[in-house]
Amino acid sequence: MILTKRERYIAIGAGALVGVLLLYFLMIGPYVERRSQIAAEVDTALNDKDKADLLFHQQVKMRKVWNEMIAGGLSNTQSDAESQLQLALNDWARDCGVTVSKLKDERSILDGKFVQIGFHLTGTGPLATISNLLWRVETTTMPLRVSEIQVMPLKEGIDDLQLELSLSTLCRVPDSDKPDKADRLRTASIQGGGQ
Amino acid sequence: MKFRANKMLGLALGERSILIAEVTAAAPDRFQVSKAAEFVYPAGVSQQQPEALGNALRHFIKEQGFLARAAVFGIPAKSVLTKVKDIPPVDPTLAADMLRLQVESEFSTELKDLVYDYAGTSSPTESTHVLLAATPASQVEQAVAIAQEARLELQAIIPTSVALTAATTRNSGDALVLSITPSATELSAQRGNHPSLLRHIGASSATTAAIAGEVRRASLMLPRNSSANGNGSANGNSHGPVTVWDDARLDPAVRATITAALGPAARVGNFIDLGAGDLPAGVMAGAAAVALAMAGLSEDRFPIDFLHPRLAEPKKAAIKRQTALAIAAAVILVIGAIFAYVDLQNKEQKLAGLLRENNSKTDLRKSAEAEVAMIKYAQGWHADKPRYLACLRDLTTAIPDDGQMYLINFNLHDSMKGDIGGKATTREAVLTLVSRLNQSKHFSDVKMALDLRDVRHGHEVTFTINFKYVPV
Repeated sequence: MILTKRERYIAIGAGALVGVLLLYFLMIGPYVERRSQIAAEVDTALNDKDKADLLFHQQVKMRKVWNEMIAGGLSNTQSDAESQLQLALNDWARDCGVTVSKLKDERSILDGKFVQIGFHLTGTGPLATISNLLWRVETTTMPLRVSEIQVMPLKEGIDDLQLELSLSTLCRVPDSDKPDKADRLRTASIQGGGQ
Repeated sequence: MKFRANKMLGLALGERSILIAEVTAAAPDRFQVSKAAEFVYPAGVSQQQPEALGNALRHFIKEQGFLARAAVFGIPAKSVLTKVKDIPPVDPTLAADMLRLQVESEFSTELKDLVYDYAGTSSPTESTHVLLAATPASQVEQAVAIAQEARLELQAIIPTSVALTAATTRNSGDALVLSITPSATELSAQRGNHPSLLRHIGASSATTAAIAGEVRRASLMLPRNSSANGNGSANGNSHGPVTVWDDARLDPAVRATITAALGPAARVGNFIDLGAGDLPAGVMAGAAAVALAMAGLSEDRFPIDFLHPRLAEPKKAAIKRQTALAIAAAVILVIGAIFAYVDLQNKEQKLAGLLRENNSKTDLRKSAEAEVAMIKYAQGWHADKPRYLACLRDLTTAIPDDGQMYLINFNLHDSMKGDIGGKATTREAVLTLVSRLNQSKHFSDVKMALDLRDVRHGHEVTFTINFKYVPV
């Protein structure tokens, strides 16, 4: 078959186009796709690695906090924690000049590896003594957390205030000294208790 | 740049022998023949057996002490066909193309496999003549084979008489040369520095009368010179003097008879006039071979060269352009594919390494996650900066110390949302407190509620302010 010059150019152009398309769909396309896929997987893997590194770094810092809490008196039994906190509150109130009219333990909550032991303190005294007591409570090395505070005057015009303080301490559940990977899910149960 | 040897062999091939001469170029235009000899073919060997002939030639060259390896071969006029061709005023390139197209029809179609060349040049301004020459390809192949077998570097294959005429006319433009070699008698002419005639007259043993008659007939066929020249001949054509070269060592009387038969302008060639010094002692002839060697040493192009003919088909590229492009594209494709493969392999290896590293830390990571989560939970019971006391202090600071306001309630939750309740003598005092709280960076979402009844009766204003405390 004899082709004219024009037909020859058209044939060459069409052949080249088909070749380029074949090249793209059989080689370039799959290569680019696989390359992008690998790049995405590498990014994910690098991200995971960075997260892991950050986690290990955080673990080191958290262990310092944990060691401070252990040294500060984090108890292993609920009764130790309760008595430790009661004694401390009575001592601090006496030292600060706050008259404790009521100190009662509230319900305890089992939360994962810990038991939250709640207390409610009612006391009276001038603003300065109440402030001192608050300072002691909020700066102690014991595991202690204030959940609510309420201050109101007993009589109008006199610096004699009533303090309502809800707080809690923490103790470890026995046999949970070390973190257990199977115990990450927090389970909460209500455990009743009274003094 | 092509370098030429300064020592050249000239070999004039004949039917029964080869005349050999070695010439040295002392300067670009100064030659000296150092050795000359006649190699007679061994019995039973001819040019038809080029390997055997070449082998014998190699031994002969070695025995005779020829040192040069570059060589110019001369072939007899008997194996060369010539024809004068008129060229219109065209440039040389176009003339060569034109001759290339026409040359096959210029010679008998019965002759196959000829090698063509031409002597002369065209002019863009005027018509010219060129001498077309053809020789069987087998002649060239035999010469090449002989040279290869003799370990010679073949420079050119030219008609012997053409070289001899060129050497004879170094100092004069036109001439007729009668060359008598042991193999043949040849007539050749040159006009305007280009060969214009080449004829085989006969064997060297031809009679004097026959030679003279042939020479007269040949001179009549010379192309007419357009320019007037004082060297006219009897027939009116100007071909300059007739020089007779006797390499066959004819009897002097016979040679004189032949020379006389060529007319008054004829003379016997004097070897010293060739410009290659004198023949070595003991050598009687060899002008043809010396002329070939001189042509090889000359800086001018060979007048006719069947080894490098100007009318040869232009060399076709070993591969077509399209093929070359296709090969280049294929090579690029292959290189690209290899690059892509290596690239993917490298990236996959990197990925595999990262995944391996991450997998090896899976247990450690899970353990760390659990530990960090546990400690973070317990951290809520770890002493930090006092928040409740700080809030109480900031509120006390915000309340104006002018006795117009006092608080009756302060309440703050773990979420740091709280409220205060109190009484004031004026509504403006409450607004002032709210304004101060809003200006403080430690309080946000400050909202106020007033007891309007008290305002209407003009008594103390009871208020409640909700806020969110922002610890430092």
